[in-house]
Amino acid sequence: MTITVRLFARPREICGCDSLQLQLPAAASVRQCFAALVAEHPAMAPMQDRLMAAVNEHYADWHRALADGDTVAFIPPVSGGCGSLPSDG
Amino acid sequence: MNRAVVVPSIEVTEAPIAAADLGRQVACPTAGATVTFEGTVRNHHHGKPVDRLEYEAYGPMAEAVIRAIAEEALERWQLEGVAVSHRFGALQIGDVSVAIAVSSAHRGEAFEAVRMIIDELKQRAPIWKKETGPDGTFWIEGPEQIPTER
Repeated sequence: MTITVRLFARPREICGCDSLQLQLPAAASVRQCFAALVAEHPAMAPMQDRLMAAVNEHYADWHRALADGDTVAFIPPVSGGCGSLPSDG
Repeated sequence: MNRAVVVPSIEVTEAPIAAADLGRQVACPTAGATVTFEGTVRNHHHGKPVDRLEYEAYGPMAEAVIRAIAEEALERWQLEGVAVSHRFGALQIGDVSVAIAVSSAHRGEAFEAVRMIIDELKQRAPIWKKETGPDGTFWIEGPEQIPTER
């Protein structure tokens, strides 16, 4: 099946593109999708622990099974994730 | 009193935004309070100077996440209107990056809802910030500053 991967911010810079397509076995998980991305862009591997996943524009679990045509985004920490720091506006 | 269903007005845009515009959008005869908030680009971050800033957004998802947050506010408080705009692209110091307006019959609900919406938005909306200062350009990932790849 064909999965579209959307990349933003630092992952976009690491991969050098904002979108790419991956061919995955049927019902592959988000985690397997990330592994396939790392196979093409090994520099993404160290980012895995800090990424959230989204499927079709909704946050999703890494175990989620994908369907043909799904769009997966790997989302790095957002800028306001530091709400507890005193200097955060 | 019969209440109209409140539909939040949500926008993620490259165009300039202003809370006063949103305040006019949420104004209505049943509201006794309108609370507006503007987040502006600050010239420092963790003690270091910032010259300019770029926001990158996953536009459709950011709008959906902000809409979900606005709907949560509407479930929690009795509100007359909710409007949220977030900017992306290159911004200068002092530019408005996020604007919120909430109207309600009494002020308490509107104050609390605006606070909740901005706090949740900054935690959940897929919008990233890249800061440029004298030491270079950095992605802001939560509490961390990470040099850009290029």
